[in-house]
Amino acid sequence: MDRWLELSLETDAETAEAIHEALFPIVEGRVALEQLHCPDGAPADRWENEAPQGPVIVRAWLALDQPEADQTRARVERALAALRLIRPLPAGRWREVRQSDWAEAWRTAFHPLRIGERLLIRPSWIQAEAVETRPGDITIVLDPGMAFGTGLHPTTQLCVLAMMKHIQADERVLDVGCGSGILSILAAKLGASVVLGVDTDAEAVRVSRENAALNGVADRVRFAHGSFELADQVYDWAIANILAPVIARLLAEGLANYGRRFIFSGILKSQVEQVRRACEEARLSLCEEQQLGDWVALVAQHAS
Amino acid sequence: MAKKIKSVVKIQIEAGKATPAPPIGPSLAPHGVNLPLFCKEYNARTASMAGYIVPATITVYTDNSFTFTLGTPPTSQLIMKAAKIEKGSGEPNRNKVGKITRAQVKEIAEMKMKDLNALDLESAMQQVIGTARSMGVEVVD
Repeated sequence: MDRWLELSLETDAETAEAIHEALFPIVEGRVALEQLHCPDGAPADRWENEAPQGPVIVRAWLALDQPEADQTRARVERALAALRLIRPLPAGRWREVRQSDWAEAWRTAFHPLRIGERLLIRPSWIQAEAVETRPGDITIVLDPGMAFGTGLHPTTQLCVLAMMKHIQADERVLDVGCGSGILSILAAKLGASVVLGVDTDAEAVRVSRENAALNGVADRVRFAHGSFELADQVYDWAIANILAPVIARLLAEGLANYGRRFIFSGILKSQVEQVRRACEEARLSLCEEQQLGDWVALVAQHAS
Repeated sequence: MAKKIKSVVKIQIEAGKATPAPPIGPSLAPHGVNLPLFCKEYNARTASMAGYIVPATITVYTDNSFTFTLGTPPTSQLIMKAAKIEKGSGEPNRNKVGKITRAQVKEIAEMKMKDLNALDLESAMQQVIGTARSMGVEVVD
């Protein structure tokens, strides 16, 4: 079955549930609700702990290659007409889609990604030989998917650039909020002798371990479920690629005691001041500020 | 990591049977969700629920990574399983198609508790009984 007819309707959350309920048996469960968290063009300041606010899109699919396709479509139209008697409903849009539109399409979002001069992030399904490398390159293999940190986001890129500039061989690195493990793996590849990655999301810890094994650094990188309190020593570098309010909170909770120097990322331009104040209160001085798009990364050390 | 959400997608699929066909493929692929990985994870996490529809809520982040949570099967489906019937009655007031015990009602209510809008187990059981009645399934002691 390659050809499908897709119906889409944009509406509010409550109406979407009703449409879902009505269509589910007709299209044999091939219906999805999607809520855009942040409509295009809105400022980049909505986060995972906020309820989604965008409109809801209901999509349903019926197989065009089946003889009863026309009847199914008529039943869908009747169900929508019945719902329209109870509440206003936008007109549904129909369009034909093909399996080939999506089967491989998701992969196009991930291709080998170069960050800075030397780091190459290669999706695991692309063979090493298929990617051009330069002498001195550091390659990280990632299976993009579960847990944040595919390298696509500017906050991760800023962090990577700061790490490549500053981290020296045999230094010890603490990665708070390790996500996919990408930064911990990079630290190990830069020659760090001890790396500890922590995350409050158990899923992230599991994915990080898998990715460390994929990159052959599992012996040098340890991952643990929790926050920086799990650190058992003072690290040369403590890295937090999270969000400004979380970084400020971690500093207030004593993160500064676990590192000698720091890289903070995940900070919006408008939030730099908040982190700057938190650093001052933790008696850290800022020594570098890098910017990419709306995002800022800071390098800090203990004020002498 | 800075998790900025791009989109939240809700779908209901049969446990252990996720494939890139609709609704999964066309709803997740446009966001760059790793389809084989999602299917593998969903099927692994629902393996023990075979035969049930298990809703999934997928959160997609701005870097195309994702996480998902699982809900519980629809109440009507749990009732059909308990009553060992294929479908509910077309005329629930006249034509009774099956029976479930109060103990089974309690079991279903406990399973659905976190998804139901109920203050205590007793009111959750009342909701389950209501659904059973609307399907032509009698509740017996």
